[in-house]
Amino acid sequence: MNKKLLLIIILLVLVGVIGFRLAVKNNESSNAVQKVAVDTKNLHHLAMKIDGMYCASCPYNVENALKDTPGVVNVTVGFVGKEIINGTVEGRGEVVYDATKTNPDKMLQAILPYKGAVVNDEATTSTELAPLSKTFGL
Amino acid sequence: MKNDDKTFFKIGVLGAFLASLCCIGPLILIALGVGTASSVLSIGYNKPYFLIGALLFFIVAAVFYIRKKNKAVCDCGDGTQKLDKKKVAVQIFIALCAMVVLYLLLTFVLVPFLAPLVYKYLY
Repeated sequence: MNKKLLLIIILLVLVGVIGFRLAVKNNESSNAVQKVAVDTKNLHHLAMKIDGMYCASCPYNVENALKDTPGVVNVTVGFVGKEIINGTVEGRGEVVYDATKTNPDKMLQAILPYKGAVVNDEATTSTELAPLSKTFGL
Repeated sequence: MKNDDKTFFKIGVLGAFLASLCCIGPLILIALGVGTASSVLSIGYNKPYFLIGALLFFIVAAVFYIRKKNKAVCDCGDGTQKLDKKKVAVQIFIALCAMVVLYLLLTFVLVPFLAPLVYKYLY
């Protein structure tokens, strides 16, 4: 088969699949019900160090893996400074979670193979987090 | 640019895609709906292996290219013609430069631009 034709077909299929998913997602979000209010009594703020993040998509992948963990209310993951540890840029994550539904160990398991370490874990009443920078300089 | 030169240039482009697959790969899988954030974590984590793989791919392609060129010179008759080593070296160098530049563009420009969009609208 003609190579160009094959390439065009592959591109059209990719665009079609992504377009279809976009349409479905938009429809879902417009029909979505409001989130249930969070009980602030059991909220904890966890700060963690994350090693092994090499590239720009890593913080997004780790952040969304944490978001998928039941009990996580808010999360931000990013790079801190330009410090290089074992060839990777030092990463940091901050999570607000419901202590009755999850714990730091479960969250560290959720981001494997990235190596996470708890820096600080304390009770909080706020679900707000300042977003961490997801870019780093060369 | 001659056809042979283009072929080797394409090898450089393919090498750059292979090298940046660690960062683009998870985004493609998420965009197509065949992966979750947790399941694609190990792809990004193994970046060094993708870089080594791309480099090996490029070296093997360069060796095959030089052998092909050598054979083409030897096949053309009395054997008096010699391989233009300088020209081949320049072609390989240009392809290597293209690979490095494209890899940097993909990793440090395209991925930071696409990652938030993919996770915001398709996940």
